[in-house]
Amino acid sequence: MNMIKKCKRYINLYKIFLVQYMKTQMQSKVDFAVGFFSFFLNQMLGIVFLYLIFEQIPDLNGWSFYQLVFIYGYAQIPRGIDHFFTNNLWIFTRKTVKEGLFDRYLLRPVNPLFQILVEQCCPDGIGELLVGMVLVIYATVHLSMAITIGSIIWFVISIIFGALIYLSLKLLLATNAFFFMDAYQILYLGYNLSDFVKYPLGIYNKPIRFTLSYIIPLGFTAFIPASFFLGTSTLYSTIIVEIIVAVIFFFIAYRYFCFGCNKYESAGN
Amino acid sequence: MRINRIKCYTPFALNTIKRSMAYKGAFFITLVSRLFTVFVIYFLWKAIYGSSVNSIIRGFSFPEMTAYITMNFLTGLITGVTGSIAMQIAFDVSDGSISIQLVRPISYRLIKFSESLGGLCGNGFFQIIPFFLIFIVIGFIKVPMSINFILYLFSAFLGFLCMFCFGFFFGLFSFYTTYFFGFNMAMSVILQFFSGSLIPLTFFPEYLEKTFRLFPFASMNYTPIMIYLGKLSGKEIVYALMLQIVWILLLYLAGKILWSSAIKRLTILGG
Repeated sequence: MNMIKKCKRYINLYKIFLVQYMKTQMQSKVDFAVGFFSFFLNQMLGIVFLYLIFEQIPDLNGWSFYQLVFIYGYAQIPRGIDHFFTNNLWIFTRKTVKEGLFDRYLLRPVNPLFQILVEQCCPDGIGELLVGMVLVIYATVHLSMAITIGSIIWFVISIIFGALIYLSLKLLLATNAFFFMDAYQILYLGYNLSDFVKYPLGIYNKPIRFTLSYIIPLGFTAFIPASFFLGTSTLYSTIIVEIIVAVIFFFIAYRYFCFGCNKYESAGN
Repeated sequence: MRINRIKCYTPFALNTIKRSMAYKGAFFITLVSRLFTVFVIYFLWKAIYGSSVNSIIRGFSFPEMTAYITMNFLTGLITGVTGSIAMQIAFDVSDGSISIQLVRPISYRLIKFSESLGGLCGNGFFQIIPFFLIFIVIGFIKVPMSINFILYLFSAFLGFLCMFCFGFFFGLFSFYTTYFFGFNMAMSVILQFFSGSLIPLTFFPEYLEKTFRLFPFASMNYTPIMIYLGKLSGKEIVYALMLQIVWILLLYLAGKILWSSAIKRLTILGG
């Protein structure tokens, strides 16, 4: 009972924060358009790259152009969802600890991580999400894949847990700010590894494949679940494992964050 | 008089070097991750060459492509140090610190330039040379023995200047918009694409390749790499170097003109 009450309170709080933030964002619709455009451009050039490569080769390690477009598009979706909701971690890792702003999170009777996440959301993420959806649908049509209710449900589940992996990774890296003051570099580089899971993992050698699957499990945000929908892997070896990995990873990241909170010393005297 | 002028800008350059040395932990992480980045692109190309029936794709053999991506990375460290110049200007504008710079009797452009130059020196010693040696050891590139290497260094420096002038020009748009971050991101995507960072320009249809080569972006990155790889003939090199110089001059002038009009409409919030 208590739990439900707590959840309700948090959801209400989220709504309030979101509406407030959206109001500030909507002041400038141009900003939104520019952010959207730049993400769109980024993804489209990636497709142009694939297209130019496929002018030269019939398939890449046995993957066709449309299969790669599917993987590529799929990769954008959890990334976009995460981008929308957890963008404030970037600011947290750059400024919040260094400038002692973390104090106020500790003073309020709400979970500090929740407060960090709700403070801002990033509409640019919608751009990534939409581009990803368009590419996935485009590839699905060309590959004439069967769409069932089951596959749609698994799709939704896998992108949610994919976004959770992103959140966990960002949280894990951003938390380093408690120890190094500014963990922006680490977060930036860790996050950018996501560029590499938009291609089939089979092209990399074993150590890299292992790293992207189990150490920095970004493979589970893109290629691994996508291969289930492309019919090259089973459900158990992809999405079920993804869920387990996501939960464990989040648990580790959250523990680390709590540990960091305890170590926090404010700035100033 | 002359010496005094140089003297007053040297601290800016030295500070940038010192700043880059201050965070050793961050530096080490950057090093490892960047190396990893090159490896991943290497594997992508390896798969592409493995799937191809021809051993030469668009004029590049696999070892040449490996050298291309390696040199692309190293050249990026030389020319790209100023890549963030536009963002730095935007930060100066958005937090108002540009006003302090403006009341000083020294040139804002030269401050930024000396900072970039300092960044280049810092990068040179702590990243470019170590990386260069690592890549030679693991066999991604061969030991440079020809005149091309000297020409490469010259061309890469021109690329650095070109990137600086462009970055300064582009950064001035932050005087006109409050959402520079988005614009900057769009620009960095465009830059990657047209400078041959994403894929060598020869992969485009020939007429597009010829057009892209005329753009300033090719002068920042593609030209030095192609010189290093020995893909350009003597005549082409002279032409390419001249084009680089033309772009530096044009972008310098563009920056100068935009500066004089941008400075008039600068608004800074608060005291």
